[in-house]
Amino acid sequence: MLFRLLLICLLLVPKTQHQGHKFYLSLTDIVYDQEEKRLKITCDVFVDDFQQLLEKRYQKEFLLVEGEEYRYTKKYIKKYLADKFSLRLKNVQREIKYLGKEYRIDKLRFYLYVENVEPFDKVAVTNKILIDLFDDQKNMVHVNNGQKTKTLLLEKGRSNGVLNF
Amino acid sequence: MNIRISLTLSLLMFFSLSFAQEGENKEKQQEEAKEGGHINKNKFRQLYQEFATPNQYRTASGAPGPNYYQNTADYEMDIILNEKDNVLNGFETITYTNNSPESLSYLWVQLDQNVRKKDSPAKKRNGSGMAPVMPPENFVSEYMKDEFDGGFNIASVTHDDTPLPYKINYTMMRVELPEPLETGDEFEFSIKWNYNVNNHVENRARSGYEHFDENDNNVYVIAQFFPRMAVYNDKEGWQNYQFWGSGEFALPFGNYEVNITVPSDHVLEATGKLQNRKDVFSDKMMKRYEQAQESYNEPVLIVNEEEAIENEKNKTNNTKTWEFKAEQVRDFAFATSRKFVYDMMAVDINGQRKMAVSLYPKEGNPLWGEWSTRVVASTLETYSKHTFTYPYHKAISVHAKNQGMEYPMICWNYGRPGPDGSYSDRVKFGMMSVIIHEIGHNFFPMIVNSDERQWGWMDEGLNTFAQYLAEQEFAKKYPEAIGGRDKYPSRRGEPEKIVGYMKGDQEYISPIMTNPEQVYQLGNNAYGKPATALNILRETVMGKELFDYAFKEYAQRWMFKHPTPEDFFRTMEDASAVDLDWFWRGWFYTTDYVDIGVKEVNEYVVTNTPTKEGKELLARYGITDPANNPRTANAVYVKKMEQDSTDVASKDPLENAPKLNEFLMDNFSEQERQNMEVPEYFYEITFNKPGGLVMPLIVEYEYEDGSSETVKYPVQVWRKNDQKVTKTLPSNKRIKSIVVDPNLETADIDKSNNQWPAEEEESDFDKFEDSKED
Repeated sequence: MLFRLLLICLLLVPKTQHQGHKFYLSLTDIVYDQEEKRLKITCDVFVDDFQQLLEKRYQKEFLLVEGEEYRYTKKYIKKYLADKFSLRLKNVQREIKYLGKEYRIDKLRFYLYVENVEPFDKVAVTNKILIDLFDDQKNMVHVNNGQKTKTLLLEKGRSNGVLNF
Repeated sequence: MNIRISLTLSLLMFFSLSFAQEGENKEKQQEEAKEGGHINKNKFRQLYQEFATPNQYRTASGAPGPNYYQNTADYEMDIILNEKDNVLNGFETITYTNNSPESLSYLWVQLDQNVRKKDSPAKKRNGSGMAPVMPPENFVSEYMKDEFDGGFNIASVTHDDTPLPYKINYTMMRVELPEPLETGDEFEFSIKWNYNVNNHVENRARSGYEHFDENDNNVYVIAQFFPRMAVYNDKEGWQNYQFWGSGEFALPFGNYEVNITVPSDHVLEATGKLQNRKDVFSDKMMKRYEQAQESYNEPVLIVNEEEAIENEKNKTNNTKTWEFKAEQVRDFAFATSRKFVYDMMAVDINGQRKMAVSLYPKEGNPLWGEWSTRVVASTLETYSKHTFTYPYHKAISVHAKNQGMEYPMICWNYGRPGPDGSYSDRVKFGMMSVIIHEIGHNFFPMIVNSDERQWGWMDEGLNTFAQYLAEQEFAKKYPEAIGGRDKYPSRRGEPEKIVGYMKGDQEYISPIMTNPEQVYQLGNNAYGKPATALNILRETVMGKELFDYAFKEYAQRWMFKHPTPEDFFRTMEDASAVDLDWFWRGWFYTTDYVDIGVKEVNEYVVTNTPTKEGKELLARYGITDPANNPRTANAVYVKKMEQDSTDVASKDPLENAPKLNEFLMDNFSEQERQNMEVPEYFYEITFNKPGGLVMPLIVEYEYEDGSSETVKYPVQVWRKNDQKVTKTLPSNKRIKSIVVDPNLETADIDKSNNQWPAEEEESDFDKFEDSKED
């Protein structure tokens, strides 16, 4: 199954070179809440890009408009995020839970969290969101470990990174 | 408050401010050994190091100087579109005029299409990863299949039918001149070329075709399609920085005569005035065109949707040639297809009739028919108000999938409804915003012709700023377009929207004054941040009236000329008398951000009993017994209240400081005293500034009785201390809370320190989670 998914993923990588006016960027904010021992995560993507992605990747119709989504939308979004966005703390991959999403004009924001997180000074982040559709997609990830904020700029060929605080 | 009482108050302020400074200086002296000297690092110092020295070409006022010159390039072109093979053939004759004081021994011509040449280095400029496993199809297309070759084939470069030697260096071609081109002389030469037109949807390009399987048709949007002269000027010499894809164009002005031959069932629009309308329009189209010229409220369909649907069903082998003439343009582009619906409306710009025009395949309807032309007309109005009367006779919006790209008089725009014609608000606003943006580009950089290759922000930033104004005005003109919202949902412009970028890791942000090829986030660097900076400049720093006058002056000074960043910066100051070096330096030359907070608040009452601090201060001036010294016997002292104490504050200040009352009795009449309000409370408020940018300090004071006032301290409060500033505030109402930047005008990146008493701000995450639980 995993191999099949990988195949589909690779099949859909377009051979393109960006010349147009548009730019491709997502912004992820990860904040550690020591009291709640949780990582609280928001992830902003452009709605148009994300709708296009879901359609191409899952070969189904999607309508990312508040209140007008198809029933299966949430299932695919959760699946996609789980496939493309991951965190490792102390060399252990952590489960990222999906809290919900919110439409913000031209952007879509996902709310996610990780539970039972002890204070950390090192984190590995993989963020391949939208990179499978756009060659020049850039994913910016800010991580605040409760003391400091550090940033990763992830892109094709460099979609994971480690932050030391 | 009248003058005398303010004198008394200023005495009080003197005391309290002095305490703070004296204390600090002493500490400093004790701690530090003697420091070495330093250069001026004050945030308010003038930009002498950064700015080019003014000269005869560009003056210190920001205007073109007495010797300002620009070279021109006139074109005569015959273009043939071979629809079957998707090949574009051209023969062009360029007349280049050298107005520079130097003689030129060669010319540089831009070959932008070479960015899609098979071996183009642009394709290799980004890093790439290797997938550990690939399906065979992918492997083939990645490593084995012949790549699309979209570069120019240059068949000949000639002068009087004699071949000229030339050398192609990627996207630049150096043409050798038989003899140097002297000042004032012109040189005529011809280039014969062709190239394979690319599919811009698959290939994501600014120019090309979109293919529709139904009836096997293409919509062509064709631009940077011919060898174009590079700019030679006093700033760069030849601007022959290669075209890598992000930095757009630098082009000289000129006059164009262009004949375009396409299948005779195509509908075509282009830069310039159509010379043979009667030959290419049907009688029906002519009649409707005449109606459109008188229709100022409703677009008139020149080709309606049914006709377009009929038209796309068949193909002809015949061709038609459309003839255009354009004056004073820096480029030429055209769109052509048998699928086009075509509408027009007249718009009155300061007494001149302009035509707002739209071209769209039926796939754009109903959205395009409803809004495109109206958006074009409204945009011309707003921009003309803020710059100059739109000088061209028409502005065209063409619907092309995924496109948002601008050329003189014509632009390509996205925004497509679903197959059933339905569309969301997002698609609608996306489409309106991109049309406003691209039509707006007619002003920047098509007319105010900045160098996009070097400074992406000069057109994108200024245009995105003006786009915000045009969007807001469009919504006022067409309230039905925003359906119940209180304003147009602009993506960019509002300060709050740039915070996410400006607070980011310094490693991935660049000053606005950076070449577009070298920035990490072009969208924020060239569009979002400069647009927001200008919005803040207009609304918070300069005020709308001073800003608008200066901005208009800049646009008019550089209309049909080539401005540089300094010309813009200087003009904005020159026309407004607002010193802005600190603003340009901070916002444009650095990646500093705004973070201002309220650090400490002390509450004081007045008293005649000398305080310890007061005595210490006076002792330095030789007054050892202030109560009995005639110079200070009446002095008023301020006494710090302990936090949470209410007993002293509730007392009448005149009781605490009876000598103040005696002073008032001796110096003011009863009537004058009636009008005086003696403040009950004094506050010493320390504002700190963890952020590097200096900005006006906007503070809202809320009082216990529920009233509030907002005070704007000028940016100069930071001129002597870049870290903190202390303000003394007399008040007869007790302050309940203090908020810095209450209306989010400054793009403050950290609002957790903006309030006193400190209030923990709930994060977006917590708010969202709470709302889910409710």
